[in-house]
Amino acid sequence: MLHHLTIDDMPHSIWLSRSEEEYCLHHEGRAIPVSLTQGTAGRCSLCIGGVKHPLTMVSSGDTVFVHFKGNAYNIAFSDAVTFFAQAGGGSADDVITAPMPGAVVSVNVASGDSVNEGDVLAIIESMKLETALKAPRNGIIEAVSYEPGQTFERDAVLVKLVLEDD
Amino acid sequence: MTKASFTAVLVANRGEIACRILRTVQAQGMRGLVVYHAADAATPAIAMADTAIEISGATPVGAYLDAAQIIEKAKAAGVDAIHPGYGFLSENADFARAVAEAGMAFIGPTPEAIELMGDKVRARQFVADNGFPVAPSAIEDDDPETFVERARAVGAPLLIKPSAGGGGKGMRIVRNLALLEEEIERGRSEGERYFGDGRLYAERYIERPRHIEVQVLGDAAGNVVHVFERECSVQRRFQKIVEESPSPGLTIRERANICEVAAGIARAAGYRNAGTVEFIYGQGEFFFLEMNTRLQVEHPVTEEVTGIDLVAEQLRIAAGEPLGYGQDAVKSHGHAIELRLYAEDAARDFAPTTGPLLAFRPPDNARVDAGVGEGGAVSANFDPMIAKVIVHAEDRQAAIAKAKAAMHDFVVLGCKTNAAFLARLMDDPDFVSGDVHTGMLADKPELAADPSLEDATSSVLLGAAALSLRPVRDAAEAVPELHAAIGHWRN
Repeated sequence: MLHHLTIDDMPHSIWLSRSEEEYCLHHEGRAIPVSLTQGTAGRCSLCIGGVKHPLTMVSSGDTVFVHFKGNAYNIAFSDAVTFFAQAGGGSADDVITAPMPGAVVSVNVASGDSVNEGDVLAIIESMKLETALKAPRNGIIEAVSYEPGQTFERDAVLVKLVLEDD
Repeated sequence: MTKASFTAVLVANRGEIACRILRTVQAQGMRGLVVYHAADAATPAIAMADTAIEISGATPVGAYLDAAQIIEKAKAAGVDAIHPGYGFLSENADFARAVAEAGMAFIGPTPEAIELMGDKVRARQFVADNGFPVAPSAIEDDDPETFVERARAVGAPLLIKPSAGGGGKGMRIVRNLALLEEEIERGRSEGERYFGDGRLYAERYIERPRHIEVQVLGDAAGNVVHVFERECSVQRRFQKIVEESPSPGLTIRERANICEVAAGIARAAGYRNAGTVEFIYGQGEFFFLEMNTRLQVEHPVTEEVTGIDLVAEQLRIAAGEPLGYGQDAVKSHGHAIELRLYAEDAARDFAPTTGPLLAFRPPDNARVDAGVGEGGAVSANFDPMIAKVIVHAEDRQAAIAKAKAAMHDFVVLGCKTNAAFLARLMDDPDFVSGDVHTGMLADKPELAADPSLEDATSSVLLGAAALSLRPVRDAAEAVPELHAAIGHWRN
């Protein structure tokens, strides 16, 4: 069974098999025998072909965070739909998401409003820098998720447009 | 080391600097208090303080800027001194004055010194009037008739800017004075076009400038010493991320000179408590930029090379004690480097990041001044600096090696940080040779990019993730059973 993982947003497809003695990772046509020894507080050792690689690993939901050789990586298990959206670079014109964490300064629209492409929907602030969020297309506002003063994380959906079928 | 300067000290700040100040306050037998907004309730400073007092505000930052509320709560708690840390109310003369009027000691300079140095134009004039170096300049408005002559007298290279300008528009660098009048005319026409104002301003242009600053300490009796310099040229988005002492760019003579000038400026200003005089340095010349009238983020590098606890000195001075030593007693040993750990994505133009701190494991063999702990989180409420890593070694090369090892070993999971970027920076040939300037990181965008993942690394990451993700492992477990079943049918 093929699984879809991303390492820092880069998609990878893998599957894992098991023989009597060990697990085998299948990735890009290679079969790599792997075993994992877990220590305390997330310290573990991944063994590939007799070579031990020490790392620190914690998980949260479907995401595994790994510190390996001085770098921190974010490995996410995703369902096929999300995976192919990322792999294809697809982006929806129907939601306006936060480019970085910050706070809402002002909101210029309410649900039900009709907007033209380029209209300023809201002003956000991150690191003392104000950014105007503009409508990506003509349409009707379905929902505004935040009020002025509220903070949000990166990729939070700030404004939604009503879906259009054309 | 000495008797306690105060009975109870309130820290009007948060994060790593609140912890740093509380450490010295408590080590000297005083009670350490801190104010906090609810957003910080679970941070180490709150756990560390003898008493933590909640403050409120329209925003978390607003709470820490609410001078009246903080003074009222400090008085009610019976503290006899307030330390403002850096940022927030630290350079607010009205706050310093109000603290004194409420009968408490403000751990910092006099309100007059804060006002003088807070006004950049006045400060520059004060420094020039006292015979210390400011960047030579000529302002057309002073006397339009003689502007060209005065600009020529400043010397090349020269930077011409529209007086009304900003954002680099209409700025021209003149390297050949024969072209001065022509460039002035072009600058004037650009100024008119962009700002509707053709008046100009000319100043000495520093190529590849270094930012070098000098720590000073002064007491109420007028004794002033310098505590050597810090090189802070490695910056991104005009913010320092690496600081070190000594500066790798100064000769012994230049070092003595810049430190003596800084002490002279502080002495002329009658400066009391800890302060920092900042200079711009290039091609053997240095000029006054500004003076920061507070404890700096990067003060630990000075503490490491001199062995002086700057917070302890601030407390003693604020209590009215004399410095008690002269310049000869201040010695610098070895080399110290500070790296600022930020919650940010270097590869995305250093954009701030947020997230839970699922793992937060500072390295051994380094001083780590942190304001967060494992189980905490980085939010968008405050500045994204989460820790400072400070190393000290016999020489610069050894300090760089220690700094790199410390960043390599610092485990932070759940929130992206600049740790790997800082470790790469420690390997950069220009950094290693000490050839740094304030535009260095902007000139090297490749340093900020994430290195491409090697196959061997992705195998380790995917292997570790696959073996710990339940759905992947469950699917693998199902396979041998199937094989076994097939085997049985064959028999």
